Amino acid sequence: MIVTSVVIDIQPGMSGAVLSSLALMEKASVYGFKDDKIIVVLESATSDELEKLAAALHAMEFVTGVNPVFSANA
Amino acid sequence: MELSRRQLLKFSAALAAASAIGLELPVPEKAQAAAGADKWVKGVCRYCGAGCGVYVGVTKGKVVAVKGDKDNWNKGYVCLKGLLLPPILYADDRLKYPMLRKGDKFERIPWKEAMDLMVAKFAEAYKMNPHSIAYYGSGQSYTEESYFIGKLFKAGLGTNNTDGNPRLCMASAAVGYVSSFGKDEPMGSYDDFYHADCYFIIGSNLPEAHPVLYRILREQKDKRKDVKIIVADPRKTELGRKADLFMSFTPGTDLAILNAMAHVIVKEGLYNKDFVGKHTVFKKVVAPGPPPKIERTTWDEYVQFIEQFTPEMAEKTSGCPKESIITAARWFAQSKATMSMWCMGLNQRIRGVWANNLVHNLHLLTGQICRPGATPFSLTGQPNACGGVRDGGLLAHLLPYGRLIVNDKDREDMEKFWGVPKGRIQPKPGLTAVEMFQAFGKNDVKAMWIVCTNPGQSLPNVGEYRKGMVGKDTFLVVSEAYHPSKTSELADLVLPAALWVEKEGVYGQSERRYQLLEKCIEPPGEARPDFEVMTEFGRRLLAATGRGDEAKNLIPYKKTPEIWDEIRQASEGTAYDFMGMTRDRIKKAHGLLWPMPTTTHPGTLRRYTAKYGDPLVKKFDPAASDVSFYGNKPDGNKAVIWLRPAAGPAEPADKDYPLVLTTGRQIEHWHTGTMTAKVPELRRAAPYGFLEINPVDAKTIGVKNKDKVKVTSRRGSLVLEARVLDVPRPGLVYASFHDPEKLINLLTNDAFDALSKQPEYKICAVKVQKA
Repeated sequence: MIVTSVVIDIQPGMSGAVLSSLALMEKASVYGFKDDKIIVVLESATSDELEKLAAALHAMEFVTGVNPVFSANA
Repeated sequence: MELSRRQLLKFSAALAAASAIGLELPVPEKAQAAAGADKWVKGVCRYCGAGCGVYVGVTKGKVVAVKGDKDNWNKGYVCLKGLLLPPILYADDRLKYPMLRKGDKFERIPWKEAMDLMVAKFAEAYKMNPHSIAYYGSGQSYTEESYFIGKLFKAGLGTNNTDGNPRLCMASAAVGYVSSFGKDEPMGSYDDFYHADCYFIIGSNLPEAHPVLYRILREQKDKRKDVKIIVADPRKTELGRKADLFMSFTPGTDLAILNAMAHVIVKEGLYNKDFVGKHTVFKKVVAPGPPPKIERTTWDEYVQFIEQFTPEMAEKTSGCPKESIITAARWFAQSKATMSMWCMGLNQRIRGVWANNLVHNLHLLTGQICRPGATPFSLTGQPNACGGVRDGGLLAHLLPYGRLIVNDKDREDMEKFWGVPKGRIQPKPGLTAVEMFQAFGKNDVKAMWIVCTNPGQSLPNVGEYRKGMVGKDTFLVVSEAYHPSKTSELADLVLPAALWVEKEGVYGQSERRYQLLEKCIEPPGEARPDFEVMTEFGRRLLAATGRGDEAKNLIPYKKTPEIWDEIRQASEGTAYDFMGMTRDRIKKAHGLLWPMPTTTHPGTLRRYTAKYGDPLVKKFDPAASDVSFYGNKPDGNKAVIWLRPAAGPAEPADKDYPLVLTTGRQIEHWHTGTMTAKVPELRRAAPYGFLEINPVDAKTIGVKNKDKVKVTSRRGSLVLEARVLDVPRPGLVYASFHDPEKLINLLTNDAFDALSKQPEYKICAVKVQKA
């Protein structure tokens, strides 16, 4: 299991919409948000799955950036 | 119910991300339970100079967790590196036994044999020439260790050849403080973060180099909407992106910008006439020397001098828009309280001292000093560069607590204090870091002891010095916790050292804060605390060189607590006075700030101001009603506004080497990675060195993100992965210095500041090609 935290940059004022979308992602947990940034922790079985999760975040409406911060094997 | 490792890791990961954006996350009580610690021992983080208070969790003789100390300045917060400290103690390459070089290999030998050999080699060299031995120490050694070595070499052995890695990171800040205010170390403290409403940050990547201090800054910005952050940096890091005003400039041209800010302040009448008149004098260099010939001058001449530094001229020199310079000057002068911060971007320069002086000038001109929130504040890179190497007097030109080798009275005072004959301490400063390794390469120094640092990776132009460290006629001893490191692999003898909470000692950090680290666990194998090895070495070397009769007086101790009272007494009556900081008191406290002359004094948040609590103002300057720069008695207790011209780097970009390379830290690692690379999470997060290139330059060179590039300077070349990012300005490339497999210091320049002897890591000319 790979645990990875990312800071998601979002368009100003769109946190509600992005948080709603994130709630539908099974392997993403929201830990907090501030201004136009959301802290999300991803859990993935493999690095391929992690890449897919990151791509899904990238593709999410109102998301302008996905910045990985920390990654570890649980 | 305990948290699972998975839950704990998820929280750690979230905490790291939260730290990056200055967000507070509640620490779940269960996270501590998950670590399973039987007891928590108060201590300090092992890494940067911020000095976060921590509690170290210990179970069955093993460190299992670290958490922040809520009663310390960091209010319970630590960065990810701090949180993940325990694995550094249990790395596979911890050195457990003395190792002697036999040809290309190292063989384990007993401590007795190691010490016999070391003493014999140093005695042999010493007998030929007392100045052919040298000690190269560290801003990570404990205060007791650095103070003791300074005493042993300077008073016991009569050579001033003791220096250390703070010469590479803080010397320009130290000389900057001394030349502007008479004594080293900041007058302000972390408390000023909470009172400033304008922060001027130049040459610092605060979010990555000092993440917990950045958290405070972000907190203030979020809570107080009137707060303004000015960032001046050739790289637009996270800090620059968050700034209210970002000032990008060509590396090495910031002296023009700082003088231009002073120009605007004077031209627009924004200076504090009363403060300037009461508390400053003006000085200029009339002949460069060495030593430079300095003369007092006048306000009128200063005004005439800065006339040339118009914002237009500074824009032409630096590339920084004149409007930004004017705005920065106005905000700086007109805020209720302005706090400046800087780090290696100013210090690691051939004009590092001048750059420091020019920041101080701005504070003195505007009176933005000696009030809550108003202060120039140098950020420190290592956990005990201030307390041990600077304050404790290890550096080659220093004696303890603000005393200077070149000052006759200071030498006599310390000879008397240490009980050695008059004339024992030599009047000429010893070899400084780069000079020391140059001398070692030329066999002028024949025996060198390196403790708790990794110059085989961290020296500038390191390829040249690595060659010099393996001479046939020299003897190199390295005390290290890990082996091999890029330095220990070059040694003749490697001694296993206790690390962090495997020994007890005092750290002194950025804001004059002294804190005790208690011993929590036993070191592995036969590793020993450096202090014990130092005192044994000292006794035996004095005996071997005919001064055995002095050893009993000079070295009456074996463990660090036994020397603390002597250290306190050495500070007594000086501008550093911390007589009130008894071992018992420092053990109980969550950090104490000097001056602290009595056991009932609470410590000093702001120096040089009686109004805000400096107990030494009245002692040194009884007539002062409030502000007194009492460290500068020769100038009537006034600070110095310097006339410093703009001057560029030693090696600007040119047609053959058209880009500028700068180096620095990244958040996951610390220094040469000997510790952080042992932490799996950190290593995975940032496994190797890379080169940041601006998209404009990448296009010109024809490289894409993640391409391999060859970066070449006049001293060496290296292949790195390209990271094409809009962080460095066009014309600038950046690399961290953490990766031992990618020695970026093969390329950096060892030209150094004539005043501080600090090398210019931050600027050298390179060319970059697709590999």
